[in-house]
Amino acid sequence: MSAPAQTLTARKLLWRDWRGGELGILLAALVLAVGVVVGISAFVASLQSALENESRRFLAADQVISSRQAIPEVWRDKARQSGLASASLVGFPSMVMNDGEGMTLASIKAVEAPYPLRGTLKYSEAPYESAIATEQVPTPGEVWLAPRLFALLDVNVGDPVWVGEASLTVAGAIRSEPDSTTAMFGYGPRLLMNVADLAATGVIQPGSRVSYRLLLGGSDADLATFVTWVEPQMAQGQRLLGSGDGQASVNRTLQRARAFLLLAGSLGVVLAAAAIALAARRFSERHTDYVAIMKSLGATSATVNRLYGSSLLLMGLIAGVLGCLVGWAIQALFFALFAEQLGVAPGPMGVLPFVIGATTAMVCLLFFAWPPLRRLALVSPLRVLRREEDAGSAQQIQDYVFGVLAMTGLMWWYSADILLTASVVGGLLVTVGVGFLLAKALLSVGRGVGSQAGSVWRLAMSGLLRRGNANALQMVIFGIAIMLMLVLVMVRTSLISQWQAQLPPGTPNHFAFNIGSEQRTPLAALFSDLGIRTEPLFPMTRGRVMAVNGRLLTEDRDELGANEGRQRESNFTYAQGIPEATRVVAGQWWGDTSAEEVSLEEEFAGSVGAAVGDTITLRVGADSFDATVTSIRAVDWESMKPNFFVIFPPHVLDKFPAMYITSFFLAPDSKGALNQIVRAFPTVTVIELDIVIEEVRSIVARVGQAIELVLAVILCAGALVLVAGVQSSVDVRIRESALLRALGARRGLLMGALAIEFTVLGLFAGCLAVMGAEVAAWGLQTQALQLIYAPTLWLWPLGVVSGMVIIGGVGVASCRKAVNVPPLVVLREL
Amino acid sequence: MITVNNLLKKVPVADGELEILQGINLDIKSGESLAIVGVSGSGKSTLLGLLAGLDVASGGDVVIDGVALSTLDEDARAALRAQKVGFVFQSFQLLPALNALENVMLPLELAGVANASARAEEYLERVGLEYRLTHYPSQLSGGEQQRVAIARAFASRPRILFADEPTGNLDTATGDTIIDLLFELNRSEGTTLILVTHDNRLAQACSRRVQLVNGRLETFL
Repeated sequence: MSAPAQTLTARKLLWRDWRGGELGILLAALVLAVGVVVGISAFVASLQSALENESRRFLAADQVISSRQAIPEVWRDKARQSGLASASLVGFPSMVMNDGEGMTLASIKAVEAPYPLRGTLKYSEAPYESAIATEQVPTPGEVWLAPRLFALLDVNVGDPVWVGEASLTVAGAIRSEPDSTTAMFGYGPRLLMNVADLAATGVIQPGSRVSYRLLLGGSDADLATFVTWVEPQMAQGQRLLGSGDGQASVNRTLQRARAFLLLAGSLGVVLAAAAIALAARRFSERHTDYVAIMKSLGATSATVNRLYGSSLLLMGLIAGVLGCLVGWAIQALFFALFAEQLGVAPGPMGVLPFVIGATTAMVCLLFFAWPPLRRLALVSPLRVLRREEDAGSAQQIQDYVFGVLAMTGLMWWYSADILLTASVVGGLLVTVGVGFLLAKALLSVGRGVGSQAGSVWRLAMSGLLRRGNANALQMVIFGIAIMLMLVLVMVRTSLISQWQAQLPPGTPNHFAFNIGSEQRTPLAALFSDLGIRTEPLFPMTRGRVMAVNGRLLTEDRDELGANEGRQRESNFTYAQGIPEATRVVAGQWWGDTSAEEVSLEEEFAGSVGAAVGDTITLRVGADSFDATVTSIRAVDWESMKPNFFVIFPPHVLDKFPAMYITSFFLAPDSKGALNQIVRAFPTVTVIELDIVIEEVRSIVARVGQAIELVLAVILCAGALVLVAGVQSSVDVRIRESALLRALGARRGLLMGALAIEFTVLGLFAGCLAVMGAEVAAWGLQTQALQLIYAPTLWLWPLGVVSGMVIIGGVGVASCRKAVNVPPLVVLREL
Repeated sequence: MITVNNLLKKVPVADGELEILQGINLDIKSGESLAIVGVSGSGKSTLLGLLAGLDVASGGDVVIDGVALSTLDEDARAALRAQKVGFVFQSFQLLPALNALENVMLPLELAGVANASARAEEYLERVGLEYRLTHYPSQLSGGEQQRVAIARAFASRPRILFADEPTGNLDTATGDTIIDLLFELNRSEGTTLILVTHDNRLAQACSRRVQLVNGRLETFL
């Protein structure tokens, strides 16, 4: 036979199968597999680049060079030559004076257009009026003040203020800067001025504590070129900040969301692979006679292989193209649905998602669809004379092994996360392992069971046991599908609830510190008068870790850039009990101790190189003392509650003078209360984090919505697997039921028995699923996503009941034909 | 020309081996029509399967036009079937997903025949089903399905046609029509016809009859 004739036949074979309804589920499973993978990876890629842009606004730029010395002009020139937009920024704390006696410490930020390169600057014409987004910066000679500075300096718009030797006119109130949390420059309220006025102030002298920043914006390629050039020239105290240095809580949220989406995509692949395997098995079963006839008519094994191989390849191509289109549509739909809430335009997705999709299609075909089809070539032509003749050996163990390996490889490649992959595969293995044990038990009971058509229950049970082998496989596949869906629902629920718990309504959004010991009572009274609830007051003493186990640490003034084994300066506090949002990860929290103990935050402990049991030497003011590290703590810095790197039992630190810190929540319409506070306590410093918290919250909410949508897509994939699974077994059931009907069985008896049989299958599958889901969820939550694992009680009823309802429902619906169509028609068709 | 030499077929059973065919010797000339008769379980279908190269003998040999089937593997036997053999089965063995025309086209497509569709139409016309081309098996009566199967068997112009109880699933009148058709095509195409049957009328229509009793050719009628 010539090659063109062969291709023609493969195409015809495919067309005839399509027309005969044989291909529907196989093709749908394949298209869905590719669609889900392409859709989710395109969405993730696109969302990630969009959100990265979003998180870059916390830097006000794509990249920032921060430095303690003035940034060489030649760097700016080079940035310009590299096609990058740039803006200089200089920050420092300084006293600001009004025309009279009034003065206060402010955090000065001198900027130039086009600051900011990313994000939006907001100002208002008067303090606490509605904020307006602007692309301008203060013109030379003018400043914008933080609303509180108006009160502290007793000035209004149009009045002059003094920064060093320069008199500048107040032109507005600065309300929001994109980089307010990453470019603090001291703790005072903000004064925004133009870089051009800097020289006139005469404030910057050699030795002044000044931060310089060069903001850079442009394409990734241009940035990379510039970074490669500039990095070797950077000196100590100069750092390059990228999107990951923006806002820790946003970054972590994005990372977890990305992991979740990739997990969802991976589960989609597994589900689709299961659907493909089931559909291909049924396809191959239904083609056994077809092949026997073809072989009796002279088709060789090679012809059969070529025919089905090329049909499969053709189908792969069709499904690949359709799947890519579906995937593209899924991500477009995601963005269309969330255009408003997401507030980000889709970023570039690149071709990678489509490459991943095409590979998924081919791997799924090769490892899940091809094994049952390959065995068609082994069908004996003698089947045309004797139907009972061997229909080709059943699925072989190596098919399962290769299938699991292929799936693991695909998931790993797709998620690039070994822990995530291992967790899911672990859950799968539990489901499959327990499933086969259960199946074996069923089979051993099932030997010698007849049809027992006497009662609904007996008929159902005997059917279940007689088809033990097929039922076992089906049960395991149902179990896997339900397990994966449960895992996703579980992880999503835990992710969302932990996000919500992270920043619940009323989360403190202001910090007040530099509170003197004697101010504690009157300040508390003022808070109480204003109806503001505060977190507990923590004493705060500045100190330094000097040595660990007698070994002196190297001196390093740069707190941010501290490396391992460097001295660290920090705020110390004391407390009897463990502060909120803190967890002891090593050692033990002190009880009623009189010993010199200390508890370190884990990252801090790492940076000074101290562990539980070590003795560290500390210095507060002119005094040095030793303390033993008795615990290491993990701190949830995102909780917005005061927390500390170094905590002592009260008796160790209370002899030193301390200032106090607290945090409190202020609703947007109560912001005016700040003025009262700063007027009454001018030495108390207040940091406003309300805008940042709102932004973090809105990003979390958007990502949460994206997750819900992806969950819905995966649940659809899971439903498809269940339908494919039921479909794969209905032929034999319909045939048996038709026979029983022909022999006089009542409709109610048959439907009842089918309903019971499928429901019991669903019950077993649900139990398997719950076991596997707990294992997978434990791995995912504790290892891959760093969430807190708690066994979920609702999982059991949910898994088991949904298994029974869905599989029972779909099973009965699929077998309706057995009782609704005259038995003769059914028997003739099969 | 088919020669059968001391053909044996054994199958393993729970307590040893069962000899289904015990040394069959038979010569069938080209253009001859042969009926193999016998009671159920006498080994008729097994013999037919071996003659057609659908199954492998435990001993002895079948030689078709000088080629010993025992020297061929399954693929070579398939090639031989494609070239020389046609089948008609008791249960018709039409593919439910294909319509009448496509069912007849199938062996032609497998053999790479260029004008498969035209030839299939021609044979369906010869069996009187020209108005049923696009009908699916489930839409055809038993007799019509068997006529499609006969059209399919003759369309590839085989030298040998094997028929396994071709009237077994049909009523007497329909069976008669099928018998007439089978022999009419057999004559016009010059095919060697080998059939297994319980149907005495069909056996009588053949030029020669052999009877199988417990795996042996006992009587030549």
